[in-house]
Amino acid sequence: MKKTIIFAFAAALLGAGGCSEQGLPTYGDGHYVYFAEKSDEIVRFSFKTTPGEDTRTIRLGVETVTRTTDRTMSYRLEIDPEKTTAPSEAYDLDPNPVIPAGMFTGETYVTVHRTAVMDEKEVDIAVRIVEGGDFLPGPTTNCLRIIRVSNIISQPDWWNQDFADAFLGTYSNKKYEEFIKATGVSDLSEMDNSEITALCREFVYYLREQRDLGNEIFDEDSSSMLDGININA
Amino acid sequence: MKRYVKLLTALLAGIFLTTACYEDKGNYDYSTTGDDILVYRMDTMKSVRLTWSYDEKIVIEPGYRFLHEGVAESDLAYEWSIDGKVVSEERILEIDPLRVGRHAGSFTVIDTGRGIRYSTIFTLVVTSSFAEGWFILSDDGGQSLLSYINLVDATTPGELVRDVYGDVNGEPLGSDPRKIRLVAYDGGTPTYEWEVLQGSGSVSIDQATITKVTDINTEFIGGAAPEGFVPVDGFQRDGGSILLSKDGKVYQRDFSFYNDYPVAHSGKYGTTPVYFDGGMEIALMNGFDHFTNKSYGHIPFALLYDRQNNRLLSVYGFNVKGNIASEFGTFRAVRIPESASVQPGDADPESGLAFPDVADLGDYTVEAMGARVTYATVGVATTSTNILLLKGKTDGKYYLLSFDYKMNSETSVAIALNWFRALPEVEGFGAESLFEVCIGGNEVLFFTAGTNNNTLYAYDLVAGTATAVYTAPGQITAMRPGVVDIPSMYAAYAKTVYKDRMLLGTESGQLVLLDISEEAVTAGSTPEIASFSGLGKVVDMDFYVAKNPYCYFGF
Repeated sequence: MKKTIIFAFAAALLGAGGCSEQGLPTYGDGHYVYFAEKSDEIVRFSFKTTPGEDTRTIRLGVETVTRTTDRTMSYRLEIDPEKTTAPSEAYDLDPNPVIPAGMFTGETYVTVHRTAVMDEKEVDIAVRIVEGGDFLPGPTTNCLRIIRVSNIISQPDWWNQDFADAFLGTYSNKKYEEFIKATGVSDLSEMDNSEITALCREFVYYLREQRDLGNEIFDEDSSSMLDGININA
Repeated sequence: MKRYVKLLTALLAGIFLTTACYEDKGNYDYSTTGDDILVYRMDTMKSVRLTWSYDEKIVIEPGYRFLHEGVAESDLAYEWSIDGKVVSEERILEIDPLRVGRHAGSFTVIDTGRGIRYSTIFTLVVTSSFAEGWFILSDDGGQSLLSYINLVDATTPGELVRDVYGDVNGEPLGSDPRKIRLVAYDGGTPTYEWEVLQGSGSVSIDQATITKVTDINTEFIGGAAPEGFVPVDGFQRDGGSILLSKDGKVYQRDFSFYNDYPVAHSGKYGTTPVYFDGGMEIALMNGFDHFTNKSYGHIPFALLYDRQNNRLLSVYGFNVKGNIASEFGTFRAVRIPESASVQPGDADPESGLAFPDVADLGDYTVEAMGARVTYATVGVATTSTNILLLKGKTDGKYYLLSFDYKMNSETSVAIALNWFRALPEVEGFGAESLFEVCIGGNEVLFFTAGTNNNTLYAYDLVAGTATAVYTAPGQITAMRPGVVDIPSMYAAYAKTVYKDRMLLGTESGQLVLLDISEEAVTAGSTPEIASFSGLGKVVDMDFYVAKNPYCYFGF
């Protein structure tokens, strides 16, 4: 019995030690900066969701490990060429990323430009924090962010079966594109039911008005887009 | 040994649980062998009142007595619960007013020395002071005024309570009054609200207490009504509601459902107006808000006159317990089916006039709308016989069109043309005239005409004749029949005897209560029962009857 208890206690200690080894490394007196989100958190968007826009600014949060906060401190960003598939004219990095005095967190940005290749496929822009300025890069898990961009539309998560049954029917890229054109909204994920209902009805009114104007909008299967709508309006 | 320890533990736990259960002795209203205290049933105590008005503080002194010696008063504790919540631990219950309706209560005497509870249950009924009577909306120098006349008996109105909203809420109602409507939220117990539509911002008001519920403009998405929104009418059923703005735009919302019933104010109006095929600009609408499923049978639609396309639209509004297949809010154009026996263009056999087409009224415009309901029951769609006042574009004359309309579901629609005839020419009848179809009871409609529109006419729908029945002291600006008979399977449960009355309001703020019984109308004179004054220009009125009168309709 005693043996069993001692063994369990040792195992627990070992386990606890194991956990502590998974924590953040000690950085001593250096200044470190890293992205707030991990590298596998990909930022994904399509220019199709913002009709008429050819440029979009993507903001990325950063955090620091540092003891000095009494002055504005700079750090450095670079494109990771191995992970980047977008052409160079598709992006501009923040030329002067800094952490403001008195702050332990900050924000940088990448300006993304629509290019022809995005009409055909998604491309990646991989941004890496590298040594430079006042900071060293922090944990390797948080030093890279990937922005995946296209000019192709795809089914959003919120357009699931429940949404289709209650509101706009079966998903199609064309229906989604027209919905965005009609409402100026591409993301319903954070909206309450009233807002979703109102936007879906606005879409129906738009389709009716287009039909009245002689521009009836058809879905990808050539049926009237109005026929596939489920919301009462 | 371990086994005995386990058994002992189980035994102790069992004793503990048994004791815990034993303390809850249930709802006693009499003593049982071994009881030390008898708690009297509240409803058997002569001095205990269990019915209270909505604005009364509730005070109840309970009764109990000791059956055996050995229990001291000082050992007792007390517990009052209302609707499942402990509201007092004093011997005498003294609590603030409760909301209108029935409340389940319990009173418990606790013998703290023994830890034994003795209980009785009771029902508290909280009543409204506004259970039956007239609500009057007037324009008092630009300010909205909501006033109230209750009923004493069939021929005696109570006093006019001027500015009842201000009295209850301690604030002005608003300005630019347009309409007062009753809306219902169906439920185990339906709840009713008044909506005062006005240019300064409309408000919802609890029917039972006249306390303000909300500003309707805040019920638009984003918390503000669209630019130019001035509500003039609306329609509400279980699934949602619409509001009509003065500019002809209609805004729509849906309610959420809980336990098959709509949750009041759970949805928000969209800020984009409804667009139906061909566009729309709604000039008039006729909804049946009073016909809730619980109370009267149901008319699950509203008719709308689209002046832009000179046609009628309907909006379906009944949710079958939240069933998505019958959601609120489908707009459709009203059309006479090809299979109908009477078609647009056919001649009315009596008048010889060609029936107009409700899908395209051509040479006619709709000036007013009303309807009669032929039979009321619960849970089954009811046919309404609609009567439209039309005006000829070329001859400037007025006509009446009657057609039946029924919607059992959004797609199950029945419509039939009845008759089309000219309205007898009456001096002074025009754009300022009022037009009111009695929803039930006598087969008459009323309109105003004469000098300055001060004369009330009754039009016999059967004979087709109009008779002047009353001359008001000034221009009649509002009129509303009160309770009228509607044939119903629930006639035996009628609660009110206050039937066949009409209230008229005038430009100068007078109110006149008239007897519009069949005898009076037939005799050509609807006598004045009572009159009131001092309200400013009367804009609109409505009548409320306590819920479930079944066979009557307060419109």
